[in-house]
Amino acid sequence: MQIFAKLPDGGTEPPSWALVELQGDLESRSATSLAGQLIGDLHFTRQGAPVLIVGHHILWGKVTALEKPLLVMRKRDDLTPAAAESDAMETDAEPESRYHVQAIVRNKILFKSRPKPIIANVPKKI
Amino acid sequence: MEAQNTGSSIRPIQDVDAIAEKAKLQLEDLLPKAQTLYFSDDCLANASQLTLVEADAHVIDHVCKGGSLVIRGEPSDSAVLCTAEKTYSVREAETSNSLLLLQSLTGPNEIEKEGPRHVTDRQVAGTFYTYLELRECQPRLRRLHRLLSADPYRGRLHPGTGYSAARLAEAVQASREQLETALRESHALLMDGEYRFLECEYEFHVFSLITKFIDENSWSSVEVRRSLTLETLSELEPAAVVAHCFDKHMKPIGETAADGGEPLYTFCEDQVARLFARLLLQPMKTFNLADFTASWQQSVPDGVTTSVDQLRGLAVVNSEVSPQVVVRLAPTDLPDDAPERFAALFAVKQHWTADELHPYLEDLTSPSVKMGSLLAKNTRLTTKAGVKMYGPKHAH
Amino acid sequence: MDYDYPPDAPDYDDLEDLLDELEQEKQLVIDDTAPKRTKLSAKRTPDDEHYDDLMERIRASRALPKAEQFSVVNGVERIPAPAAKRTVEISSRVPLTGAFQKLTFSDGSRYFLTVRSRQPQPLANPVSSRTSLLSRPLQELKDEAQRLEERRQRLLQERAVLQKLASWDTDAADSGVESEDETERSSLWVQRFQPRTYVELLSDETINRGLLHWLRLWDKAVFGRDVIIKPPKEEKKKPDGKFKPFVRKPAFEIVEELDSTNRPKQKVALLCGPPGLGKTTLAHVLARHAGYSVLEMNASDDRSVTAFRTALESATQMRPMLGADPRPNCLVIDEIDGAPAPAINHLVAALSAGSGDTSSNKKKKKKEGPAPIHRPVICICNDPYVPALRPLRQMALVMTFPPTTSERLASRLADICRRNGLKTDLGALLSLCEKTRNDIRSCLGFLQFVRSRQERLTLDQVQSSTVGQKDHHKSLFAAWQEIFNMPRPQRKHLVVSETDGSSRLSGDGTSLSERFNNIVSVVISCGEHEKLAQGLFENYLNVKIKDSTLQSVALGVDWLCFGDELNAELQHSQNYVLLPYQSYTGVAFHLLFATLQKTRPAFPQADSETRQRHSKLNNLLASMISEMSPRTRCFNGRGSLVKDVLPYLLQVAVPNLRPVSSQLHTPREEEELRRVLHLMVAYNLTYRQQRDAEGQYQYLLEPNMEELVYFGEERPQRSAPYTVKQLIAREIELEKMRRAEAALVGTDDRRGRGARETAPPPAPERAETGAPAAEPTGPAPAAVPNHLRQLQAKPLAERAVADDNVLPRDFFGRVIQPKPQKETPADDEAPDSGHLLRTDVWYHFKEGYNNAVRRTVRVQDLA
Repeated sequence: MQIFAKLPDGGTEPPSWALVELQGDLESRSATSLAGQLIGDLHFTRQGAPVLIVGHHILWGKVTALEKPLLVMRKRDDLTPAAAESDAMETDAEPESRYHVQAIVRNKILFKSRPKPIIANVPKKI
Repeated sequence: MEAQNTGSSIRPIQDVDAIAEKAKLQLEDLLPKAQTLYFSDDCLANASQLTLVEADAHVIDHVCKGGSLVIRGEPSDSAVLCTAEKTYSVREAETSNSLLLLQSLTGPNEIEKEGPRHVTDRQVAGTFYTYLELRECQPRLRRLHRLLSADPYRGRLHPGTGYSAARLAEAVQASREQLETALRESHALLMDGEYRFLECEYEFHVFSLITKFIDENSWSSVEVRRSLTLETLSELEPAAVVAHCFDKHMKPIGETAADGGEPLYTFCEDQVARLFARLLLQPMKTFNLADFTASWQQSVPDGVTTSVDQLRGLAVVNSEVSPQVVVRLAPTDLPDDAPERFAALFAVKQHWTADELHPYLEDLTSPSVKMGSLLAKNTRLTTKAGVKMYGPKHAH
Repeated sequence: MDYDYPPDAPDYDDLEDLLDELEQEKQLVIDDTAPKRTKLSAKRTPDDEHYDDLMERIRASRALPKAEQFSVVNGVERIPAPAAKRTVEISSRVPLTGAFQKLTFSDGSRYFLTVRSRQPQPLANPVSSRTSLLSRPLQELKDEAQRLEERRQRLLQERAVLQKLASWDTDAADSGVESEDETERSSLWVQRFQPRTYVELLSDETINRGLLHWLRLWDKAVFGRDVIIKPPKEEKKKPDGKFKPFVRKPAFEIVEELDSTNRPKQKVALLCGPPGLGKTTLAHVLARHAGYSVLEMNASDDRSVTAFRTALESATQMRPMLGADPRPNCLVIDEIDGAPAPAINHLVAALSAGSGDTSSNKKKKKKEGPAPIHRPVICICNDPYVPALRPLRQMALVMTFPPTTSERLASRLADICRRNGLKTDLGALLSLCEKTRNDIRSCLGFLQFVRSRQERLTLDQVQSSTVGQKDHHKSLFAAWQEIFNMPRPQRKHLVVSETDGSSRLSGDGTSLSERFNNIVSVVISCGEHEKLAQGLFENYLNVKIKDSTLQSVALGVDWLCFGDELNAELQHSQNYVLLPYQSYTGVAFHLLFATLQKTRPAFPQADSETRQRHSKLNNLLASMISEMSPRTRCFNGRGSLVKDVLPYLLQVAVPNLRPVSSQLHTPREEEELRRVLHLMVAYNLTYRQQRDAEGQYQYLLEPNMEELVYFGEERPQRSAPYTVKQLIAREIELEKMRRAEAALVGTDDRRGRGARETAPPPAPERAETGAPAAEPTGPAPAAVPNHLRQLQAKPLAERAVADDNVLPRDFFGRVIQPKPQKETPADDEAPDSGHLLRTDVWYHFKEGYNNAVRRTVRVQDLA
């Protein structure tokens, strides 16, 4: 069995995507699907330090280069494994790829420190 | 809330700034571009469809040049990913951190330092907790040997099972390049586009035809002529087989015959000796060393000298018993698992030199696991009469 | 001659007259006809010719011109002394040259006189010698006059001293001559025949010489400048072979070395021995003999340390010669065993001080420490083993006096009798000595008594007299010993009775009658009948009793009872007619229990011990009774309590409880515990934690009635374990608190709560009451005496009030007003900013990071 993966259009450098790594989970208060939900705002200070505000939390992180880049591969739904298999068997030619290498990730923004709470209304109340 | 209106409307920068101020951030200390992160609508689907693969520079390079990555093996095999040249084992790594994959995000170096404050929406394509980790490893060629040895070629009447290169590539977990090398090194017979192994006795039969022919022509052992031999013998056996056998056991001496300019060949001593050794050892597993060496030397054609070193990968000499014996031992006969492999090896004899062990352990090594560490992990080093010997780790 | 007296000194013309007068007063009449000094005649025979020669020279000197005759020199004689120019001196020092007469007064002071004849014998040219009116320069005469004036002053002082010692004056100069003056008749023989000189000493010769030798060792320190001159005494002693023979004697050892301050190593002599042996006399005689003036100090009189110190310092540090009398002091401390230990320590410190250099001595003086003693000190005691004397004994020359031998004493007595014209024989005197146990004083007294009546003393008179019996005091131990020991046969004396001419053997002290009489006298002399009886009581069973029927023991006890009754009657009725009968208990014991084996009676202690214990237990009982609840007390008399109640009470008051937590007790056990509690509270018993000798904590009864009830080491088998006692102690405290509380609130309407309060309190309640118990409560119930008042819990009444309306209180005790639960105002009060932060997505931070999990991926997983 051979499973192929290659660039969808062949030959060109795949696009660079970004990765945000959080030491923690993003969870929904209402236990609903996270799809489409607002996460928060990402700022960069002038020194280049990333700041992520999630809800009442403010996170300070840093931008690092990945030691080994990550390839983002997308499994193709339009191609059944059987089809790919048969193709490969029939012809010596390279069969249709099961995966597309969609992007490459070389950098990540890592937030690993403990988040600090944002006190929402203290200054205005007192 | 605004989160519902994702993508379509950008949140007002005022809101973003208000929150930033709440967080005690000095706006002037921030780069003007703020990016609001949303989960994309299809982020859950993406999470199942997208796979992160941690790849080294070779893989990236291979991919970027349009090369394809191939995952090979039987469905139940542990997966390997092959580029054209190298083989990588694939393992899934899980991390406790959540990895948010964003299709686009502006890095701090790409944001213009000056300008009005603005905000951009960014979609998180998916949240990941796992990625695939690639580690370069040795090609897993044992299946190749198993397949080819299962039904070798024994002559026209028993052609055995042949395998095309594509079929081998399906089954064998090795890159194409590594597969070809392995076939070449194991002297697989390529006939009609299919690879086969020759059965030992049949091979001997063909070889003996060659030696007979040499004798008939009263050639010395250094003036064997290939074309003439092949021509003549192809009448008896398939030409491809004769040629394969001739090429395996004969080597050109670099001179051409004085008459026809034909290159002259002589015996490839190692291969000839190994052929005879295989033949001698075939019927029985162990052989008295003295008897073996005597009969071995007698059996080989004139001009061929035998040496125990030539048994490498075929058999080992056990000096621990008296009288010394030769034990037939093929690497392919041994278990795959490293501890079991060592147990099997040390069951044959207690102490091995590094040279003796190498042929049986080569396939266990990888760029990350060197022979030394393999030995250090599984054996105990002792020194006997100045020679380093490896013994079982937990012997008494 | 380096006279440097001021020239304006008064002139003194009549020097010779003055001297004559003085000599007359001193009765130092020495002329050719007068008998020579007999004091030391026995030893001074070689000196006799010397004296003859001396007299010749004196006569010659008288012939010299008067002006030249006197040259009184103070201090060391420096006169070159040409034979042609003799001088007459009175000096405290031995003259370098020429004849001299040594004058020793009875107080030990001594002068050396260059002797001359009194009457101007060669009157051939009495005045003619005064050829010139002024043979010497006026200045010289003036100086001499001044010196003579000083001399006169000194002599006058000396005369005053001599007058003080008037009692000795009669034979101060010449004790050898016995006169039959009426005045002397009237004086006591004891004083008259007190030894004045060394030869008259009756005590052991070894002791005498040893002590004298020791005194001589002080010469260097005391008469420091005399060492260059050979003291005449030293010369006199020479024929006796100095003192070497005595040093070898084992009785005492004189260390002849001198220390850095030239004092002997043994700074003090300690004379010890029974009374009447002449220790004090010896000390006096020898000190005087060695040239000291004796200062006696009775240590038992000067009891206080300060008195002792001042006496000691004044005796040893004061310069005793205020011009006139140059004699140094010799301190005789009599009866030093009676001195308090600090005084002796002070003496020891003073004696041992000054061994270093003189500068350190001065420092010490400034520091008020004891100043070193530079004079010989002779201490006299009866018992050298008094503990207080121990430090002194170590540094002292200890001389134990052996009793004077009867023979020696008898010969002396014979001498005295002869002088006094009392006719007697040696046998009678020996008998007398024996009878008085060689007590010189009583012998002399007896002899004088006899002499005053008659001229003759016979053996019979001695035998029949009661001399020496009365003042003979026996110690308790001696008395017990005499009683329990069979007397050993003593020497028999052939006694010839002169009255009837028959001779008989005096008893050897073993005949029954003698024993009887002896014990009677012993017991009487002892006097302390009660103590004696106690000693008999405690010791008579330790004697080997040969009577197998123990008849003697029964008799002995009877006698003790009899003695006890006698004593009781005596004390009760003050009827001293019965007194003589008391002695016979001792006699009876002697006859019943005396053995030949030496028994060592122990001092009776049982009485005092028992008495102590009795009073202690009485106090215990009293303290218990005083705190018993009145209800119980009224039914318990002292006697019945001890005899009938307490022994059983202590048994009853041991509950049969398992040593487990009180919550786990069965109802029966709880009931028993309650019963014990009531009982113990009623009798005011409790347990107190105490640490015993091994450091273990124990719960003991308080008051500890076990001591009262059980005898000796015996203790009841059944005793509550530690934990149970602990529990009981705690419960008793609680019970007392409850009762006190009940007494407080008993009058008001909360009486109904009693049922609840008397119930055993649950543990939580105790925990609650623990805190308030730390504060002293208000008025305690009157029933509890003040010193016994315990910390008690606040009455539950207050708490009960609080129970009705339980209000939470803060730390300061203020009632916390329950605040209406307010909604957190986050949402409504900050709608503008809060809603921005309230996103549905929130961040859940994870503490750790893990990236180590690796899983094998199958090919099919990727397909």
